[in-house]
Amino acid sequence: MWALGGSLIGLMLAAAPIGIALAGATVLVVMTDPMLGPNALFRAFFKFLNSYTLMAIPFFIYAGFLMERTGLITRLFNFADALIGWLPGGFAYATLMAAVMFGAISGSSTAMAAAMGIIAFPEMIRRGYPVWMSAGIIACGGGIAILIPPSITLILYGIITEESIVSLFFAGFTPGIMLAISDAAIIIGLSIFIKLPAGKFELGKLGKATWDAWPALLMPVCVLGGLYGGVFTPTEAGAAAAGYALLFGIISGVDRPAKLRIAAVLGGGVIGTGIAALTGWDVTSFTPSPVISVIVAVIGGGSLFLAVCELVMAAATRDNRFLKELLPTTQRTINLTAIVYFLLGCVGVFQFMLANKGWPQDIATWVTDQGFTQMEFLATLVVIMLFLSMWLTGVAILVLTVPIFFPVSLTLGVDPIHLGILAAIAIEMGGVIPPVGLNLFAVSGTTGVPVTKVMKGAIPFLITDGIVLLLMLFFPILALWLPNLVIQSHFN
Amino acid sequence: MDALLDRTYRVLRFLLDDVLGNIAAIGLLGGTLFAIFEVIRRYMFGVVFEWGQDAVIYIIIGSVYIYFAVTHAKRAHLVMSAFTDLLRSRGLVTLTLVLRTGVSAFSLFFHGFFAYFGWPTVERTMMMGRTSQSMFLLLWPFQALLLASFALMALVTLFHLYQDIRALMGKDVFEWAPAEIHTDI
Repeated sequence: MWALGGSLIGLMLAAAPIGIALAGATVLVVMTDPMLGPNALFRAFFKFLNSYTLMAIPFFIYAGFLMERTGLITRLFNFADALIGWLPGGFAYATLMAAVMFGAISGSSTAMAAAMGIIAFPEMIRRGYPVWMSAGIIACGGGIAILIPPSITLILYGIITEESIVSLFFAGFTPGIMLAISDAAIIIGLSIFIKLPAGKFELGKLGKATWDAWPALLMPVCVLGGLYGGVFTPTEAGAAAAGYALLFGIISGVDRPAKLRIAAVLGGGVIGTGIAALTGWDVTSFTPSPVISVIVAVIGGGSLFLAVCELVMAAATRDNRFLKELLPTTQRTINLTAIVYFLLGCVGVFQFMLANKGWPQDIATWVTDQGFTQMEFLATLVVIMLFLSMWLTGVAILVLTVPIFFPVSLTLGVDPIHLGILAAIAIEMGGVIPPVGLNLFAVSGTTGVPVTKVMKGAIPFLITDGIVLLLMLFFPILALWLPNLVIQSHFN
Repeated sequence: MDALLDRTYRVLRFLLDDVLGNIAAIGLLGGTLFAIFEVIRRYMFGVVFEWGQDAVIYIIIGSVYIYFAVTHAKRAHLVMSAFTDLLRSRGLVTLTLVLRTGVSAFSLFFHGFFAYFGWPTVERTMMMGRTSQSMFLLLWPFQALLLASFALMALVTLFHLYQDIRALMGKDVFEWAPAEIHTDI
């Protein structure tokens, strides 16, 4: 066990890819153990990736990149600005909202921090926000995103531990709301303290921003509504999100009058649904409400019709901006997916070896022999994760720690969903803990603000995040009440 | 020697980045479109193909297997670079290069190990005619794809190793293929 740990740490310190460090250390152990056949490692790698649930990851990443490419993220940002940007400190909260939405979609808070450093930071400075506050808000924005579906961290945790991803999503809801409220309180407090100027509310601006942003606002309603409503599985929700973004991209890839688009959607939808009804398809039955079924059929069918028309036009004229960008966007998606999947394959290899050696059970026995209580174990684990997350990204921490600590936590009677939420909050907090937090350096790198100033701005949010983490640690019910309620309502 | 290897590596990278990379991306797009198609069929018409889920899994997984080699060639896999960054900032550049060379050598061993010991698994799956859950898809072609990907990664690592050894000797080769790329997720 010590040889495994030593080679793993040694390889990681030498900057070996984390997957190679994990599976490579396993290879070294297997080579010295005649009871374990080396052929089995390849099989373990292959087997771990054969899961339909795992497909949710590329779908959600794809949806995020497509939304970014089609400008939906910018529209969301403009909407948030028009809605609350006029309040004292409102633009800061609009930035936080946009950061949460972007982080939730792309699944990466560090990528979000880097992107928002470019998009939002200059505008905050232009509006008179102090540099430290602007940089701090951007660095911390992803904290909530990690708890909001489709959080890649929670999906990965669910896959590694074979826990229900939908339950994890439900469990992330309450801490997510708590973080949003506490961050709002911090922003309002800071705005009053440093006397930030208020802007002017413009109804016209809000109306235009809402009109522009409705496709972006509708997406979470459809996709996450379907997920929370028990209609979609996480993988189907991911596919639906990617489909929605693709459809929107194709339609909006060429500038056309809005009236023409509406006429095409309604005309195509009504005619298509009518023909379908005449051929015997029951258009009123695929949702609980017949009216909603017809509306979905008309709008969905009409949008599909319009997208097909645009594809035909694009084939003839080759002027659809979105289609020109589709392959590079797909390459970005598969690149990120390949990174995550390679790591997961290596986790499969690592878990195979752990299961055969029985080391998690040995650790569990040791932990119980030491008289560790459930709370002591969780607190220690949170501290370890906080420390690791200063140095490593969230995905890396999950794959390194969960296979070892998860069986131990089960032995101690810890709720797996509770553990997942604690891990998610700890991992995200670590990203902004001085002096090493990755998000601090990402923001510093893109904005040119010294890391010390980013740290100063991040500290107030870090304190509230810490309070939420402690509340989650001591009161598991805060995370568990919603998934429990949903499970009960499904059984009743 | 350098010039010959440079040309060879350029050809290999062209095959990986521009040919296999695009094939994999098209595969992912195809798999996603098929998954969307299945979602629509399921919720609108209440029907699905028996082999639908398996097709989605293996089209996407197959594409990602192909792309593993592209990601590896770009040195884009997730690493913890804090320690080596610290060493470099302290002026210990040679030590950093030694570590990088060591990692490349270990990576070569790792990928070679999986490529070598993976073959009996593929052979066995082929002989037994193992199929996916729906029993519509044979598994061995996908295992063979993963094996090929490991072999390609081993081949690419040979070039990485050469690049690192030359850097250690004070000569930069393959300057068009940077050795330091980080990905944050």
